[in-house]
Amino acid sequence: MRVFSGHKSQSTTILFFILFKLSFIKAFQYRGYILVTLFSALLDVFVRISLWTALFRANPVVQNTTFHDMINYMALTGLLMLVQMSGVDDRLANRILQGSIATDLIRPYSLKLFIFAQTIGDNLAHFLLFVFPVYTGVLVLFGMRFPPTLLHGLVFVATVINGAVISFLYYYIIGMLPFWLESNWYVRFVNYAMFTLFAGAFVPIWFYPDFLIQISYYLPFRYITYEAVTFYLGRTGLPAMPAVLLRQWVWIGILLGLEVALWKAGQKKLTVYGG
Amino acid sequence: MHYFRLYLQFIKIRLTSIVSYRGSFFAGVIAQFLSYGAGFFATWLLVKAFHELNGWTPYEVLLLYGMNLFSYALAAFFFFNLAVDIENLVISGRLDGILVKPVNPFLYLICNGFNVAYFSHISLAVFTMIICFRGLGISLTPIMLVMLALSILGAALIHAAALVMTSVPAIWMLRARFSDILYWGMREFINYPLSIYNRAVQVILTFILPYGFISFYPAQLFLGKEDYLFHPSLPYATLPVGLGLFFVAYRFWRYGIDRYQGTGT
Repeated sequence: MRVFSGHKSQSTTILFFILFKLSFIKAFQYRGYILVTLFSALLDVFVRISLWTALFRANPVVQNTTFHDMINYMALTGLLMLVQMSGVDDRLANRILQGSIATDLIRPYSLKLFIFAQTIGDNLAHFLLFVFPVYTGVLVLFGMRFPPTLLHGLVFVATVINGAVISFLYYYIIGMLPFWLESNWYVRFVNYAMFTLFAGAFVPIWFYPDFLIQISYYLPFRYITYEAVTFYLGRTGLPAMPAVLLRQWVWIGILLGLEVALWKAGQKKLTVYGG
Repeated sequence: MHYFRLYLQFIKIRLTSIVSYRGSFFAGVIAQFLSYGAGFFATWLLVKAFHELNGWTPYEVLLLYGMNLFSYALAAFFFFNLAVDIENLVISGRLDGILVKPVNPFLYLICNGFNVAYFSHISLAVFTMIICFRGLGISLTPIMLVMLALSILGAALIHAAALVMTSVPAIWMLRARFSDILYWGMREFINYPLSIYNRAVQVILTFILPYGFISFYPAQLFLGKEDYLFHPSLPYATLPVGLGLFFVAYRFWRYGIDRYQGTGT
């Protein structure tokens, strides 16, 4: 079955903006939630700044990295949560587990685009409310770094966009797992483990022993935000630029192929109980 | 004795429910093991790259993680569901039914809320602690082992007290998520030595929200650390602090139940 049926691009844009607005309004509804989440984000950043301060106390430069580098790494990685498409997986998975996927399949819109719009909306609301104030605060306080050259900056933007695509496809594929699994609550734990170890979410990969760095090249996670941040900080030289972009495109190709194949297989497997 | 038999019955029911979803239970155990394990490993790698964190070596920092997780899992085994489910019990009115049962409602909720998912946390925590002591070349004397057990018990009581206390606002239908943060947010602090924070945080985590007693103070004892804060007797204080705090939490919970109004559903 084709989910994508003939629609005008105009109506898609309108749908996109409506969904986007809705998730925004939703986030602003719970003021208590905003305060509490902001406070816990601040606590989290405070702990990590204390940690980096203590680590650099004995040696100001460790593996070519300074405290200032780390603060910028942390803030940039934090700000790039904007392009992390977590949430896509749950949205798709819940539809499959609850069976509402059956109606999604006959509706005249692209399910993928619908989920994308919802996720971007939620992400942007979350970003503006919590991520942006906290991490720009950190950058203002400790001093923000700029890319060494304009070209570094441009490559940064390109790698971020590619990273967003990789992230979306990855989570979309994860969201399809319930076609084959009876429950999926534990998948998030595996995801968390992978991002902690191989995406540089907490510890930059350059601090790792060599064998782990090697493994990271064969997984998609470092291509989501880590490569972009290393460009921004000037840790990756421009000669390495084409190779990184190429690897990102290869990953996009692999994930796209996987997504199409799994989607086809999944629909054959899909059984929705009537009711 | 009566409660003990009741408790065994509840455990039996829970285990039966696991057997019916065996695949997803074991997948969950492995997934949680991986998720905590990845965090532990990343921290260990980080401290290893820097050689030390404020005088604490990688294995020493990892021991803090291990003790924190072990005691948390012990507490969560019994109290996690009590803390998390109470809001639903109040809203649905089922709490009224529990209050008129001829058993102590606190014990009933604990028995009923036995959470088996924490097997994976406990096994990872024990595994981590063994790795740490071996990596550090420390062999604990029998007395030290007893001290370790008592410290973990005390630490579990501190976690339990926090879980119980954060459930009280829910009884009054105040969605005071702020109390949750005091617990869930602050837990992250104690994965690192208390000595890396500024004085204000050290005072808070010792005297106001005494999470420092969960891992930092007792670990000083087993590691022979001497970066004492405040007073050198604090490494021995985990059990008394835990007992005191849990007593206060229980009284507070009873106080909360006495002022429970019900939703009228």
